[in-house]
Amino acid sequence: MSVSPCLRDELVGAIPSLRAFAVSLCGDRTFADDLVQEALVKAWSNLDKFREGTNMRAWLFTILRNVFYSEHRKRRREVEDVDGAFAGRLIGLPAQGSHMDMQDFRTALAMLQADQREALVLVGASGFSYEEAAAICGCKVGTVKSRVNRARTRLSELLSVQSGNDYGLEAPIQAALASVASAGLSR
Amino acid sequence: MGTPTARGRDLEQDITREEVPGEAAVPENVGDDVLVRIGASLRAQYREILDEPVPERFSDLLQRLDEAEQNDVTDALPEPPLEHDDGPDAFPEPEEACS
Repeated sequence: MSVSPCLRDELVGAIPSLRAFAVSLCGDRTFADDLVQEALVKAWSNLDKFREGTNMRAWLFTILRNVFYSEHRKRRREVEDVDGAFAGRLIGLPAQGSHMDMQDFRTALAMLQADQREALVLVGASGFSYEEAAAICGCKVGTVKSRVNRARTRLSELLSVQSGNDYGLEAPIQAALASVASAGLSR
Repeated sequence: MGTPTARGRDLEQDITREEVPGEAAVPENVGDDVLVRIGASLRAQYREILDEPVPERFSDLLQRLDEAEQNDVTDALPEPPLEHDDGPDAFPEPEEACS
């Protein structure tokens, strides 16, 4: 099978957003790029199944998501739960001066349930419609809306944001983070 | 409903404040400004990765895929970084374009 230049360009053009989505799924930069590479190889060898003119980005995101959950199922013995493991990895990152607010945000995002974080990122950052996000996640549109709403409510709680104030993690949240981190390290 | 953009939609635009069956409501005490800032932080974090140069491993990968296709030899395909698990859901049927 010959891959048309148009399809190839679409594939290449999707790599940055696939990388960003992969990081939001697994929280580990190196593992994220492994997932993207795996997804690209799968997509390449299945391009004949892709109908030109349909949504290539959504198709690639679906493949990437399947690669991630397939890996996750295989690694379940090593990684007990995707939420705690993700939080544990991110907490190890050093906070850097002016990026402290963003670091707090990252940490809070990592504490969301995986399905809520995924829905929030697809709709709020990747630019997919609720319908596209539902197709990518294999669930109903109402489920995606519900997950997005829960995600932002939870984020507001975690960041204890109030009008006019900067982000800041409250002491109880810091304590919860510490316990998640130590649980992650003890595995 | 907010307008989806290439950068992600504005989270405050399509907020559900009332309980709808199957949908969670955002409490009244979560202000629109908070949602604006969460949305902005989310997009900023995502944008950081989008703006990075694509690592060489991906251009190398595509070059090897091109070569494998031209030579039509499957053993030239790169070793996957992860073990394959071609379960029933490994290759989704493409959805019709929604946009």
